[in-house]
Amino acid sequence: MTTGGNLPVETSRGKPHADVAVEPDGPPGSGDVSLANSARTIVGTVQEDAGFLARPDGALFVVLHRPVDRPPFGSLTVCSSLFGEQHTDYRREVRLARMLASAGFAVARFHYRGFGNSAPGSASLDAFSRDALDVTLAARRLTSVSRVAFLGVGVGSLVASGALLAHPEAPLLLWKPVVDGAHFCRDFFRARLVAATRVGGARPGTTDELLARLANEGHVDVMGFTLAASLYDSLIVSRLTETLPRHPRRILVQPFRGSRAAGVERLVADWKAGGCLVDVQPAKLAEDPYFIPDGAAAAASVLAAEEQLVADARDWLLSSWRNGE
Amino acid sequence: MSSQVQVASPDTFAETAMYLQSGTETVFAVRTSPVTSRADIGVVLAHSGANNFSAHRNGVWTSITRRLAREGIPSLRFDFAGTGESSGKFVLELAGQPVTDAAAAMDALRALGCRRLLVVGSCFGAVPSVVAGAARGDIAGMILLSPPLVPPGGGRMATLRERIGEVVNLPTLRIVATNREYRRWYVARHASLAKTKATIKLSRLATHTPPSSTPEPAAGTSPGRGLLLESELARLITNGSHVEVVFGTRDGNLARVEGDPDASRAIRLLQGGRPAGLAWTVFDGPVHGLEDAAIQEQVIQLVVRRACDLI
Repeated sequence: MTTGGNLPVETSRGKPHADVAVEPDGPPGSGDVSLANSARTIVGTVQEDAGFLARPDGALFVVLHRPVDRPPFGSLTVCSSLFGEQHTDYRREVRLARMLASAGFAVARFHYRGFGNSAPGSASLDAFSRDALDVTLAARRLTSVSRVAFLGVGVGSLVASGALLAHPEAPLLLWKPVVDGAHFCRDFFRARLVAATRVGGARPGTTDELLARLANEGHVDVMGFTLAASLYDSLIVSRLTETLPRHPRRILVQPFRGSRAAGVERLVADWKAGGCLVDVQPAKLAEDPYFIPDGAAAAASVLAAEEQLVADARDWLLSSWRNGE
Repeated sequence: MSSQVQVASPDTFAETAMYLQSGTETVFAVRTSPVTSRADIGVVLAHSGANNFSAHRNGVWTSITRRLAREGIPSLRFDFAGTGESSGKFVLELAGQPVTDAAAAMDALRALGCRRLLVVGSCFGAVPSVVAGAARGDIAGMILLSPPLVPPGGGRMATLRERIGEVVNLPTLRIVATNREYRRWYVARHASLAKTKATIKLSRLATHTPPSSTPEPAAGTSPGRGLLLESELARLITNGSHVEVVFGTRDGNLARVEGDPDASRAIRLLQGGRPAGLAWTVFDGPVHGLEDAAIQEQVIQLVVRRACDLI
């Protein structure tokens, strides 16, 4: 429903749900869940509802993509990357959601508590996993699907693997997974030094100084991104091999070009030894968001590689569910 | 229209997702509404374009909108087409879709009861904001964060037709005819340009160098194309809008303006404009990209202060 001119188009009837039940593994379809203060649009054959999932922990900004012409046969929850990576990954995730929704899936995307358009909140990997579970539950109820899957992007891989504890049968997709949270933090701090050298600015403080400030002040600035001590503390003890439960499952790993790819081979071997069915499909994309070259040729190449990445993820998920997952 | 839910602070405001029609595209926005508005002013926030989304880096736009709400000021942050949650493909151009998007966001806030607008544009986002804002009469203020007023590499040289179109067009001629201050600026500006070009021609004649074989002067000595958006900025200033450009000492966009004599002259002229000239603020550090949390906080405070001043 277009209301004319540049007015909002087709907004849904959001409701206040400050007391909405948050049950990480509750049955779908049994509660009155909706996105509050929401709006709806149609992009091609995809319906998109953007709004806020109200919870006692604070509202989360959520976008739910689904096919416009049929009920979805499964739902994917996207656990996004963080900081600078989120900026380069954001549109990829939107593109994936639209492609999957046009292929018959529901896709739920959201901003973690304290990030983006969501309400402030204390950040940690556990808290983010609870966010992912709340969003998954809402998506299941809103779309009446029973099958769910998770996508972890970058550090979101650690979030998705935490959420998977509540859904042991769910397929898991990982883009440029962070295998070790401590390594992620180390590389994040190093990028700060390299970025300062590149722009010719004053040399920033050492990592030791940064960590001292983190301990004293409870947060620290890394290239214009606020890293909270609670998130840092949860990251440095988190490893993908340990967070993922030892349970036979289907996993697709799509490593990008960069230092993380080196750890994927061992990760895959560990998982296979644990009985997981793991597929690996490398993507021709740069893992590091800070030094991606400019230019039309580079942009076209990135776009083509993203198309392939997204199409591979879709085909794998389709085959996973077709095979009875 | 959906009902109101307090997203962050139950006492002060609600946030609502919106999709706006922008030409053939659908543009996503988040409106932040205080429980009680103090005035008829609203703030539109335009992010920096590609690889960005409605909250901006580190949620700076989100922080601004929530602090504005606590001051009783509504606001709207949006995604250009092809970015964030919007449809379409992002295009880096001075006209067309980005300008339509900025206008759609301004219209949406107007439709919600804001009669006057303060528009904040970050980097590229400042460009379509200025172009869209200069074409309307409800802009109380415009804050441009590290705008590319002299494009990197000099950009593509405009054709003669484009250059004529920049100065001889209906809105410009209308305001030249009706606004004495704008007329004064317009005449002074083109006299200055003519003088610069005549000086170069005279120097070429003096050295007997044929123009066709003269290499393009290096950046810093070239008259270049001057200042991007010069005409639009002048129009906003003469219409009485508060126009403020904010740079950081480490911004390449500031260095390019300072290294271009023609652009620097244009800035000086705009600073002398009436009723109030271009405001020029420089923070110590990088404003471009908002890559420093301390600078982010200064920017947040500046925007909230200016919005409160306009009440």
